[in-house]
Amino acid sequence: MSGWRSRSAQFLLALLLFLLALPWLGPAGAELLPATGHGRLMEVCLLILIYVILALGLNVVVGFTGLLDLGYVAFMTVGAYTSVLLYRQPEWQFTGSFFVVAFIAGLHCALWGVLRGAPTLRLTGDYYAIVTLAFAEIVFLLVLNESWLTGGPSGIKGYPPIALSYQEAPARQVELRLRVSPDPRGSTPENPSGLTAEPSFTPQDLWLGELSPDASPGLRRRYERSSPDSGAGPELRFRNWDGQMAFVELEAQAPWVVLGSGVIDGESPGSAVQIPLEGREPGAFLKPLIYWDLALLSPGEYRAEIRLEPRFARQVLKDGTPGFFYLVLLLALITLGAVTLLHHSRLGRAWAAIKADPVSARSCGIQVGGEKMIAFAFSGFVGGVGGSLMAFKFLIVSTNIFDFWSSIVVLCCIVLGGMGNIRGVLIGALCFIGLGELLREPYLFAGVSDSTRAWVENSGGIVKQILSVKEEGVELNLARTRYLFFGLILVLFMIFRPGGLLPPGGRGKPLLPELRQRLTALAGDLFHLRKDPPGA
Amino acid sequence: MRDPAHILEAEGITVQFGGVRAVAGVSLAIREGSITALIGPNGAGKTTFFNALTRLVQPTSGRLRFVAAEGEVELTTMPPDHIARAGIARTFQNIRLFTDLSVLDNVKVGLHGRTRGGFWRALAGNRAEEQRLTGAALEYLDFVGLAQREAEQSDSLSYGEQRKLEIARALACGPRLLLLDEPAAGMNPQETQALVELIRRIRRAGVTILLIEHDMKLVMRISDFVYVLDHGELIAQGEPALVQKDARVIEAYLGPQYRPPAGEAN
Amino acid sequence: MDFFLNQLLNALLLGGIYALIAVGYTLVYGIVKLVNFAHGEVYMIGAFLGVVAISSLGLPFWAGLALAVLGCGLLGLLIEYLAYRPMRQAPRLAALITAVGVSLFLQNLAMLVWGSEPRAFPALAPSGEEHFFQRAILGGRDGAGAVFIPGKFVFIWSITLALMLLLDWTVQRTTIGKAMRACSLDKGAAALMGIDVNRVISFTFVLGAAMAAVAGVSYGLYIGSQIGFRMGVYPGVIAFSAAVLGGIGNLRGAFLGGVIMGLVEVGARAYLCPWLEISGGYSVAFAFAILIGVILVRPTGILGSSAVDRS
Repeated sequence: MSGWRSRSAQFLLALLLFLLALPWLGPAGAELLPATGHGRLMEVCLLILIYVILALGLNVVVGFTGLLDLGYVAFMTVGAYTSVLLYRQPEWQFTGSFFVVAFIAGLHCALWGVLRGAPTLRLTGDYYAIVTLAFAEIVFLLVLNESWLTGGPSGIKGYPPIALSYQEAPARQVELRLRVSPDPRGSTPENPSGLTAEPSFTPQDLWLGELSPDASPGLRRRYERSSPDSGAGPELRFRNWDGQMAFVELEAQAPWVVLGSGVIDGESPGSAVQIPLEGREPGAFLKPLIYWDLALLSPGEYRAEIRLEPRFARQVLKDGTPGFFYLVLLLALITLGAVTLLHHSRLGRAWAAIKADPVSARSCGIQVGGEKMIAFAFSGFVGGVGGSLMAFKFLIVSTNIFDFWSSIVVLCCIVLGGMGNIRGVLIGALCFIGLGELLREPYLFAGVSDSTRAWVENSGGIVKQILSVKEEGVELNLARTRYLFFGLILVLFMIFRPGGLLPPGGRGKPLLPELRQRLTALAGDLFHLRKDPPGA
Repeated sequence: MRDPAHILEAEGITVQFGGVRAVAGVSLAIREGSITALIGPNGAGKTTFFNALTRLVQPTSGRLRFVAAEGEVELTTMPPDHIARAGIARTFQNIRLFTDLSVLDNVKVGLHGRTRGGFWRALAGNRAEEQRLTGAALEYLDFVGLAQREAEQSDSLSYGEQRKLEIARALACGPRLLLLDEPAAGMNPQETQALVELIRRIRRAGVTILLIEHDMKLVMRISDFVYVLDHGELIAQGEPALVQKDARVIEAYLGPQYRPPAGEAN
Repeated sequence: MDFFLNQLLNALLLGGIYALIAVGYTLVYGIVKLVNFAHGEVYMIGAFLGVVAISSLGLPFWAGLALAVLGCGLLGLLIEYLAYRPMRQAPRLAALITAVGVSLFLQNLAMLVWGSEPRAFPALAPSGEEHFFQRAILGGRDGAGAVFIPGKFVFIWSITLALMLLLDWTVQRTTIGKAMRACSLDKGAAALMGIDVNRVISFTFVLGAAMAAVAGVSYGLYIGSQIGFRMGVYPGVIAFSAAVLGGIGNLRGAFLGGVIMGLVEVGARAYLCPWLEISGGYSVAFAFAILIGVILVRPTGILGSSAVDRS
């Protein structure tokens, strides 16, 4: 654990304190940072923290064990989709369920990490790299094509955000009667079945959104906003739609979630019960709960019984709230702790031995294959959890968010950090994601001459991609070029600074003199001023 | 085992790479507690034989019986990490240390096969065990004389010190048989003398030693028994003094034209 | 039957393209033991250079092809010199990451220069050469009831085969080829024999890049559309798989592997996917599945040696 008293460790500690205070700086330091600035800063810090988690996970395979993983996005994707598909179902929304869901997503990815790596255990790292690439592409194809599961290219949205716990409202037993009688007007084009349906509910009061007496004032305040008057709570309604179907609908909008079960009396044909619902964001449309197909019914009385269990979500953690920020910070700290413990353990030494020299590692009694698999599993697990966090930050999962570049971004964080060096990974993520977000910000050159404007207007190619003419001047937007810089950074760092920004033990050669030395050598080679020994 | 005093018996070991027979039908035996030398001109197949012993290379035919702690085992079917745990450790011709690790950690890796503790124990911190490991590793470093250098990076050591570290790491595996591949390569006379003493200390600690060497003085000084390989075949064996004078051995090293002056040895 | 024949021709054509790309991978891997991740981008740039030469500059086809080849050759040279040569002594992981960085850089450079919208390759009127090939090879059969093989197919395949033979001859029979083989076995020994290893390595890269350029232009000619900055990604991985399938480092193996991959992909898209009722986009997944299968069963590939590298 050498070096934890060093300057960079103190820097990281200061950073931690800053992060802990950050969510409260907005309202407190309103003069220092304008509201939008604070929001953006929090968002950037949150993104950095998520990438810290991902980078620490990837670092176990790339930095510790020395294997190049080019398809880390596969875990992010699988983890995100797994957690969303589970969490969006009301049965999976209970107190603390996010942690269970994220854990399962992590395990799922750990499994795939092992399966993916198993064929390559005895081969060199090049094969592993290509297999990770191929695997990521296969996952991408699956997500894109299997729309029934993943929503295809548009992905899945409208799932509820993380709620730490739920307040249960009293369960309700509702009895439905549907009296079907012939329509006096007979069969008409608007009403081909020739029947009308008349519903009655027992008990009469259909508003299900009640809180228990011991609910907190804050909860009551939020509840007020979803009262019957605001029309945003669970409500049972009957609707007779185009004379063909009789619907009983349940509208439940987030933060309400309703579970339930139902039974329809007898084997009335053409009817179905559709519980449970999925919790949805405000503004969701109604969903039929029970329906009867009048064309298949005959006059008479039909009964159904429904049992409903409404829940009200408390402590909703959305992007922008302090709660979510602290959750991510907590997970980042846990990951950091775990990875550090692993690094300084027998397992960590085994990984380092495998990275340095797999042959002599075997000669010391290390089961190279087995230890690699553990690395694959752990790295997959962390990737899955990181993906889950991303899913609940953006509240949408799609192939646009999880694409090939995401793997590279995580890899870059590690490269900048010097690979294998935990502190370096933290600093690498900070600098890299910070740089990426910085590059997203447009920069306005005000007061530009007309001829320059005209030149920008008329240029094509690269100029058009990064410059645009605005009223106030010419705007430089490097967002599109981000990945260009990332690629360049990868190459330059590997050639000039493989130890990363802050090599361990201060072993990096000073950058500028070395850069000058290399460029001189390059010039010399190009102009045959210096003869390279053959094969050097 | 044909002889209970033997710790290793090789029978007809052949290693064939495509059309090349690196090792051809070598049979030898190592007595427990002895220092045995394997010599021969370059390319004779000595390192290949070591590789076959530790199964980094698969013998095309032959058998290798070894007396491990739990009993007799057949090495040709064991994976290399099992062989290490069974009690054979080795060093390499070109030093293969774990460059990213410190001196102490390199030795701790040697202890890997004798300790337990995987993923879960790592997460739990395992402090007591780690301290025990540090103590044990320091002992091995002390044994080879590197105890002061424990915290340094392994690649900042001098060549001779790196060799010692590699030996310490091999000893940490707790072997009954230690294979040393050209341990004296590149050493000056003082370092070679220190090495001789180290090897003797290792033998006194109860470890059997098989070494490949080119330094004839060293071989003559410390070996109890010598095997000579040439072109993959065993051409001579016996006590050092006898092997020295063997005509075939001289011919293998110096060529057929050379005839030693009467009464003089190499 | 027509459908089958059509698909077969498609498969062979695609296979030929993959083979040309795979050759670049296998030659480079053989000599510097590095997977050149940027190779797919060289292929992509070759296609773009062809488009630019023929559409924007109005050059005839052969001139466009030549420009693409020269441009990519130069690109290959630059990549080797600037990005890979400094990494020759570095650990493998670092070299791989450098290659990925170059790939990323080139992709985005192409996106910036040529835009993110895919373009169409200029349609070419059948030239005199095409008619010549058609008649000479098929005896001019294109009447009713006879086999009609499109001129494009013959044209592209003639070039591909000719290049393959030329390449094989170069590696087996010429001095530079011998130098390449020597360097791939043992660079140090080759240097001691007086071979200028740096020049041989540069030459190898240029050769591979030139092949990729031809592949890119061929693809443009054949498909005619979808020339985009991402077009090198899938073919890159598939061609590498082809090289592994045939035995990495083995030139003839790369050719064989490329053809097999083409057959697998088209066969999957035309027959297997509809039969399994899955989308045609999955045809690429089958190619990857083959890669994984090869790695599991015979990592050294079909024509590779059977020794497993234990180091």
